[in-house]
Amino acid sequence: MNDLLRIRSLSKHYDGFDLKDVDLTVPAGSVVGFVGSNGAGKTTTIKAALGLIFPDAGSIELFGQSAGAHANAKAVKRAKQRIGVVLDACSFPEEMTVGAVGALMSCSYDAWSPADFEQRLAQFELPKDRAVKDLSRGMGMKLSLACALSHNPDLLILDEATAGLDPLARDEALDILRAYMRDERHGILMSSHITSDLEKIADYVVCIDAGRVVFSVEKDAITDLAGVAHCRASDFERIEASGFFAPGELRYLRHPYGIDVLAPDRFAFAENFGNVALDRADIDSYLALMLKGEIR
Amino acid sequence: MKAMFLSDVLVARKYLAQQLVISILVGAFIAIMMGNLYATAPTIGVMMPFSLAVTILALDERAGWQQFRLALPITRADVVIGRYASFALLCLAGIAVGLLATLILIVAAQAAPTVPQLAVLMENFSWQALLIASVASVAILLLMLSIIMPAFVRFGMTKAVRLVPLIVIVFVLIAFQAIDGNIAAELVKNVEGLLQTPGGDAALVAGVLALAAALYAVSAALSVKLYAKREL
Repeated sequence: MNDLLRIRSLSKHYDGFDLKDVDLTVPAGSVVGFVGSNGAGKTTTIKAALGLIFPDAGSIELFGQSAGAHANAKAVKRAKQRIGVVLDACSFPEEMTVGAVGALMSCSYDAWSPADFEQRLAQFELPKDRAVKDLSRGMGMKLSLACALSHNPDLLILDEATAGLDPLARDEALDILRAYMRDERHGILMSSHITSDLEKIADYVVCIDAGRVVFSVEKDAITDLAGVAHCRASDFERIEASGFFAPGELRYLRHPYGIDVLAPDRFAFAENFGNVALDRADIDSYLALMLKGEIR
Repeated sequence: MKAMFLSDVLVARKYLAQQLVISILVGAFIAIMMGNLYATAPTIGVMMPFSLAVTILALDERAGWQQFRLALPITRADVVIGRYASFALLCLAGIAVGLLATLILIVAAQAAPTVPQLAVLMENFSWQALLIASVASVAILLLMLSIIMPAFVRFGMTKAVRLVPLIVIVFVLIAFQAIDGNIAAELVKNVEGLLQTPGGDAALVAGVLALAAALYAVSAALSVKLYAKREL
């Protein structure tokens, strides 16, 4: 499969924070959800991929071409022609109007389509004469999305792009991203705290915590296959003693009212422990067990 | 570079009318208070571009624009060179507006010679002096930008404003140390000699502009190197 973005062993040291050996791949035709708590390293990773910061170690490739600290600036510029970026705020100069932002983007991207941009402005009901500073959060993100899409990029990099949007606006944004993904050459790296969005659109989920990748799995392995067993203390002891989980693979989280256990294969778990209440996992519960859970 | 240049122009356009009005009013006021026309063009030519340049630099740090623009297909060198180009354009636009305002005052003075405040402006008026004052203001503005821009490029507006006074003081001290007293006296004497003839004036103007442009280019080259290492 053709990788649009490939990050290998990315490391970056800051005072009080280390990004360490981060691996991340966005294959063509897939949406990669990038999750983790605040300060986990998502934005640092994205900044490194976009050349805003310089990694201490590791490699970054965009469309198979090196895009790391020592990459040829013109090659990186060419690669960025194929990327659309939406950061966590509408980042255009505040005094510019929506129309002026379009003019600026048309200067930046060779493949910029004014007609496409106009059509998206109409779709999003964005007035061309409105200043960026006068746009609401939702309108600002729609403008960012319109700009990110109007040069038909192969890769979209979205850093908390749906944060702060109301549920309707988020659904609208997700519909746009789904339409974008109808082309199998396209791919999305989408960092988000809103895991329900990722459940709707992601193909893979990569979780980062304290600067390290905790897991990188297909989303279906979480939402279709995994489960969360709600155990009493006696159930938990039985599960632990059964040998169903290899040593070091039993992840659990204690609650005042019981113990949640992560079942990587809930069907196999149900066959073995039919009397234990078992729910499908969602990304939130999976994350909680992976990040906060204890291991035996 | 084109995108960077355009973004600066689009931002400047927003504040242009406001800055034009303020600087023209100040320039005209100074001319009338001083009773000569030579300060009008330099005042407008420095005030308007400098305030627009500082506004543009300040807006870089708002809403993550300086990060986002590096995510666009723009190299770091494009960002810096585009910025220097747009500021150079602002310098030229500023002095052009200044000269236009001066011309309007000249026309007004000639049209209404009975108004004493206007009539006094044309006493001993010299086009050569106006030209030299205007070129001097362009050179001073380019020199100021040449000194401060590397700091703004390297550290951003918020940090750089704390460093700029120190940089300016160091620059002035170095300049005083570097220019020997005898050489300075000789230089002034040569300049006085040049000012005696129109050809000498032209040579002086060309020399000053060339020197200012060369300093500006060196500053741009230094800024490109500094920005290449900046993390955003």
